[in-house]
Amino acid sequence: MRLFYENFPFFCVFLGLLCGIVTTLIRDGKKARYLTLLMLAVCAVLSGVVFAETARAGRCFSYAMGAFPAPWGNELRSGPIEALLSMVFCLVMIFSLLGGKADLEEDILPEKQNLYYIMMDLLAASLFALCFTNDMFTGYVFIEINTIAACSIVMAKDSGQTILATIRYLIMSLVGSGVFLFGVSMLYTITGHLLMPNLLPAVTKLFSNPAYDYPLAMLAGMICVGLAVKSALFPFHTWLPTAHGSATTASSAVLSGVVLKGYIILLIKVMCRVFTPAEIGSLGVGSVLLVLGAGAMVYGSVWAVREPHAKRMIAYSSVAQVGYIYLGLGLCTTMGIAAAIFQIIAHAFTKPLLFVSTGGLIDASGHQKKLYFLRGAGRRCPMAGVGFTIGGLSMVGLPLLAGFVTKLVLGRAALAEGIPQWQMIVALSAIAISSLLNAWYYLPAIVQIWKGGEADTDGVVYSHEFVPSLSFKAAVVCMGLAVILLGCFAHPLIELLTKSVSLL
Amino acid sequence: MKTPLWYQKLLRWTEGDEPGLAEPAAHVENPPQPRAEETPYESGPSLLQGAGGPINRVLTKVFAIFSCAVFALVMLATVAYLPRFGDQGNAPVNETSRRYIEQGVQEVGATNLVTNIILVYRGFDTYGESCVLFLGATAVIMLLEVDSKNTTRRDRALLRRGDELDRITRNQILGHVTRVLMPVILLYGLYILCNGHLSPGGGFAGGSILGGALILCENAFGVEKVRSFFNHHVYHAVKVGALILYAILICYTIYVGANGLPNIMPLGRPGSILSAGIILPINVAVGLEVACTMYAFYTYFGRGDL
Repeated sequence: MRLFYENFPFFCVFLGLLCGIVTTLIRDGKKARYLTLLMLAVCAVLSGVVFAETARAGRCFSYAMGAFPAPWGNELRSGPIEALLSMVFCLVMIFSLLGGKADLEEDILPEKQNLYYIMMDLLAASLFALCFTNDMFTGYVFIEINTIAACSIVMAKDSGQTILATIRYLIMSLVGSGVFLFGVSMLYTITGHLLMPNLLPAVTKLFSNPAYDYPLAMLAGMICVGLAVKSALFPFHTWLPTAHGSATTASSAVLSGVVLKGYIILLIKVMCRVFTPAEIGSLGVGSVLLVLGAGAMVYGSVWAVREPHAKRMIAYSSVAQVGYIYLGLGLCTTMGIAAAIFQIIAHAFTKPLLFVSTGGLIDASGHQKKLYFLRGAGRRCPMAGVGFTIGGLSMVGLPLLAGFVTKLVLGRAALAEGIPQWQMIVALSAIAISSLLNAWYYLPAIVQIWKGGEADTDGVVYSHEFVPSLSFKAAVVCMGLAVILLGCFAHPLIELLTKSVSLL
Repeated sequence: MKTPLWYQKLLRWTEGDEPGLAEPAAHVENPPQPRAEETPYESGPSLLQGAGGPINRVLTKVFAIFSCAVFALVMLATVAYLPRFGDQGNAPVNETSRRYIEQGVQEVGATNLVTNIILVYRGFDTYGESCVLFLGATAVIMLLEVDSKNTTRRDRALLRRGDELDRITRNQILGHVTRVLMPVILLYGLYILCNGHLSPGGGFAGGSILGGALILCENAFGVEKVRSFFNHHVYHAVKVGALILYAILICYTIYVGANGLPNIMPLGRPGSILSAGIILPINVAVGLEVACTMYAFYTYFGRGDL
């Protein structure tokens, strides 16, 4: 007999899908919003239970989706890491929706708000499925759902800028899906499997045959590149700043906090369960990911320094932060992967905090988006100012905040035994340069929002009235607390992650 | 250089003006205000303009062609490594496909093996695909449904005039032929829908035929006629009803199967119309969903309204 909590991953996925479908009938945006928040809260609790149980027992389980066991049917699988990430995603989505509420009601027409929440529901469902899937093709199906829903929440604002951003995002995203699908179909052709546990021995057997070196490197490369395009790794990041910078606040927060990470989780699963990290390293794919990650950390920060628009600056910072994740993955060690997962969690809280606070600061400055006009916004809306300060300092890497721990564990993973000398130097110098550049653009921004007085607007008078709602305050407080807690009490989490990577 | 006439026409057409219509001047009281655009960001090239000057544009093109060529060559080289299609010894010929072929009919009950695989063995994936359809239709509604942001009064006036013109000049031949053909098309669609577990076909194929019938109806008799039996409410009710029915069936099957509980859905005798457990109702649900989605795509792309 199956333990009851093993049903919960399946419940989470279908709750998301069903809520999305039912929301079609709810024409009132407010009710749709409550339903979505309720669904996310329930899923957070369910994932939390799965996390607690699996972490306590130190086990993982697979769940046959139907009477026929895999490889004939579909299968879900969960261990502590999957459940933890799915819980974090739920929480971040709740906070983003709460914090972006004011902008959401302004940016989206009332009669179309329920459609926005349908997209959010299905986005959540696809993220759960990406976390829990044990099958490459199920992964692909939910990547499709994720892509359409993510493009739609950018598009929802319906201004010229967002439509252009959506087109660009859609094209890049579909290229990524296509390349991923090529990789998966090649994998199926030469191994005959789609299920991850069956792929692992088949792929390991192929590794002993030198005739398969080229196709294996190609398909591993295509799967990685496909997912990298969708998660905006450095040379493929061009769609990100406009999409994240121009969307409504809640969308920006969800996109950079959560959606990018869904694909990375699938990539981690492919790395650990279809290949082994050592095999990815020996194919050279690991080194490529490492170099691109380091490139992203520097390049994203350089562009963020040059960017005058607050939201786009934060979006460029996302490019750099995704680079940190890929840097950890590129090391191809347990510690590197654990560091990458920690960065996923830390960034999932920090970036939405920054986006939500910036949304508040912009609203308190007459909807002016340039950093120059945000002068004194922190004084006009202290809650948003404090949120921005915490988030920015965490990105810079101030100790006691989550960003510092990321840099620490990444550095430790790079300094560990067995890492080639050049990889260590690349990783450490990327961390150093990126921290410096982060300080270069976040500190002036923080100073700017706390400066006295108002920006000179050439005589144009903007309304600075902004009364932060209760939900905005709650979201900023919760995410700020999460960033501080992750920074102060990171040790048990990192230990758990390092232990659980083998359960992936 | 003077822009050629066909290009001007094309431009007018892409901007939404009917080429055959005269400018609607009389009944538009207030000239439409240009939509307030956000100030475009300075940095970053616009998607449509291309980056920078002419040299930069040429370089971009050369780079694009070069990278496509390299990608194509690399892909071709990879294909050379793949096993020949259809060989007996290929990797996909393994225990997975063997069980589908040898035991599919007894275990699941449909004589159409493909239906067994997509609706029962891998039912979760297919439910995901149906949600992709639902999501696609919702995204189209979100983008194209007529609202105050994406449609000016002039657009609405044009649309009304188009409808009027359409009503006057409606093609009589199309109407008569449709009247004769409609029952046959509907019957054929229903046949394919309901025989999905016995012969090639099923929800996706049958649903597209039904959706095609709706589109034909709209063309032959006009949108009011279709609206009289297929309006917003019917559309949402049918779509949501079908997807929820599908979800309940698939959830039940998954929950019962995964927890080792007895499944009460009868499999029946393979080959008869009432057999194969959940497959027949799922096919009907998928068919309704597909029909709704197809018609929604058509009408929202065309007029931005159901």
